[in-house]
Amino acid sequence: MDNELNNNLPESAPESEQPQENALSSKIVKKEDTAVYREPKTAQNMCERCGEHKKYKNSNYCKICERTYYKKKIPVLAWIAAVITALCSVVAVALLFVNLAPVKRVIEGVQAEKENRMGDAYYAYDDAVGVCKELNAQIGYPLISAGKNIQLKLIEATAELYGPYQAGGSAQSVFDEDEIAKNEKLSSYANEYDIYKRASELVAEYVQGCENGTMEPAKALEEIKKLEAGNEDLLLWIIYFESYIDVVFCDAGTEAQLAYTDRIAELFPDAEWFFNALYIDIYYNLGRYDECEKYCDRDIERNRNNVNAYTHKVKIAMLEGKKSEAQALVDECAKYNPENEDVQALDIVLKRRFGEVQAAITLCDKLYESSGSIEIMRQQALNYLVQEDYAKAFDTAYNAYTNAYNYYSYGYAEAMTSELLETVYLCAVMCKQKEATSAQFYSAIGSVLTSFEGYEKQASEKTLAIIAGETTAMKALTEGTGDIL
Amino acid sequence: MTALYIISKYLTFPGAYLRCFWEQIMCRICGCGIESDGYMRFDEACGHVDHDFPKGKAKAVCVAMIPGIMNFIFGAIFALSGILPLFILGVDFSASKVMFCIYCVSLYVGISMLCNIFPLIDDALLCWERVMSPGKGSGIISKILLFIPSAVMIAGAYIEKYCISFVIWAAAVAAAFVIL
Repeated sequence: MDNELNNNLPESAPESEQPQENALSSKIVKKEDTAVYREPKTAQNMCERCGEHKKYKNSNYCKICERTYYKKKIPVLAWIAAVITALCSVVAVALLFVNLAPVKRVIEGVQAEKENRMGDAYYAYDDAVGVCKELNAQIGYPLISAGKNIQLKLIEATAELYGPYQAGGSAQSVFDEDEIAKNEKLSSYANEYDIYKRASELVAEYVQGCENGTMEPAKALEEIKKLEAGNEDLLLWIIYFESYIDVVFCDAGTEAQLAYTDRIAELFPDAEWFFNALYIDIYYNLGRYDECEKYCDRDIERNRNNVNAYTHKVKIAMLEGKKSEAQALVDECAKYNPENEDVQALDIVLKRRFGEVQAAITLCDKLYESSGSIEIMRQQALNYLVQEDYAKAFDTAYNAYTNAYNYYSYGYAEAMTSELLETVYLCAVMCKQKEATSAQFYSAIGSVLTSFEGYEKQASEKTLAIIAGETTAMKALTEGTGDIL
Repeated sequence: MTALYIISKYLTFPGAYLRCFWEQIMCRICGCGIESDGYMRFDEACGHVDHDFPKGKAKAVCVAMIPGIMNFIFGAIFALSGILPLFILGVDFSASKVMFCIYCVSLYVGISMLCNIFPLIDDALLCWERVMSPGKGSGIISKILLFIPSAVMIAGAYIEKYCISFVIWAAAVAAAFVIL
């Protein structure tokens, strides 16, 4: 009650009604002159902070101290700083958001690199650079950019995947001479590229002569061999071109190719990027599967995305009838290359090879829906062939062929594979032979067989045996590697 | 040590100044009296607002934590928008001069804010005492929930007092620029 009364009163009381407690209170009293009762100033009702004025409503401080102590003004500059910070943070969030897409790809690339998935790493870095370029092109300003750091990572991945000479070519297009000279890796890549260029220039005349038919291959080979002396630093490429002329134009065969590769491996033992893949093909073709597997393992160790090495290992397992081993390899390959069509096709081949044709057909249907892949369609055609459903087999193979032809005419030459040609030819011949054709397919089969006239000369033994009736598609495609080639 | 502390606060003045702003706002909301004039003073409370002890547990927690949380949120946004392009995408001066400068400024502002997220030791200890003391609103759940943040605040307050956070950030940025 006392407190309420006190609070309803003015801060100061007349001098006459106040005890002479201290000099400070007397100063205030002089300003007031009223007859109303004033509570005397005591130590208890004085401001605890300044001690000069009486306490304000429900407070321990006077009105002045309340204002300065509890409601101290926030500086205008602080408000401005806070508003600027808030506005800039909006810009920062926008920049952060814009940078997230390439950053995500770079992080994925780094992770892939750690796991030796060099293919994934390469595509991740390449994608990061692409995303930046695309966005900058859209807004017309270099807002985001993949710096030299990412370009360097991309070049390193190129070196692992395609060889240091390819990386050297990329480095020279991205970095200037000073930057290349300062970086040890870049300068070594650039050096490899120069070696490749010099070797290519040296042998260009002979290689082109063989390709154009204006030079005798044996003569060209002899001339290239002469270049070996005095060009020791170019030897890798000179031997490679010798092997190319000898194998392609002189029909030297796989053994000769192996001898050339052995020589390269002996002279340049670090050039695994060069000879591993060659050894895999050579040893597989020679039927030396243990050695082939050894090089497959070495290549997989360098790059987990190496589908070619996995495919060879799976083929060897299938040839040896090791189903569970082949399945484990396909699963491992699919783990590192989940969206690769060749790996999916390998799974289908494996199922068919070990007699699970219906499962292979179901898998094909499922995969085709998601990927629309030509190779999956080709495998489905072979599945139908095994089931002796020749009309469906031809229909599917012909669709795959038409799609591939469209891709081919748009410049994607890889779409038209020798396996696809072989499959279309086999399906067309079998469909005609078994008279399974309807009016619907009659003209299509006719046009295919016309365009494939004389193909039997280059067809595989397996295909010819099926056509000749020496074996059935069922038998031929459920043994060996489970495919026609 | 005080001189070093003041130097670190001035080197990270955007964050220190903004922290004072959040602190003053929280003091106003929680009814704490403010003694000091100016934010960037040449004493041990540089970069902080000299305020009365808040009454009650919730107010003590708010005054000690919320300014730091605000600085952390803004600091993280600015720092990340600088770190990602500079250190992960490797943007350099040759790529885009304007953007490189913007990223550097953003990184500096962000780190300056992250260097000023902890309260003064007195405030941190008061918060701990209020959280851990028995009494109204000091239930076991609130103690469990606030135990770690309060402990982190005390540790952070000491780290900031001896400029360790500033040294760590400065070293990390320098190392990142050199290595990446």
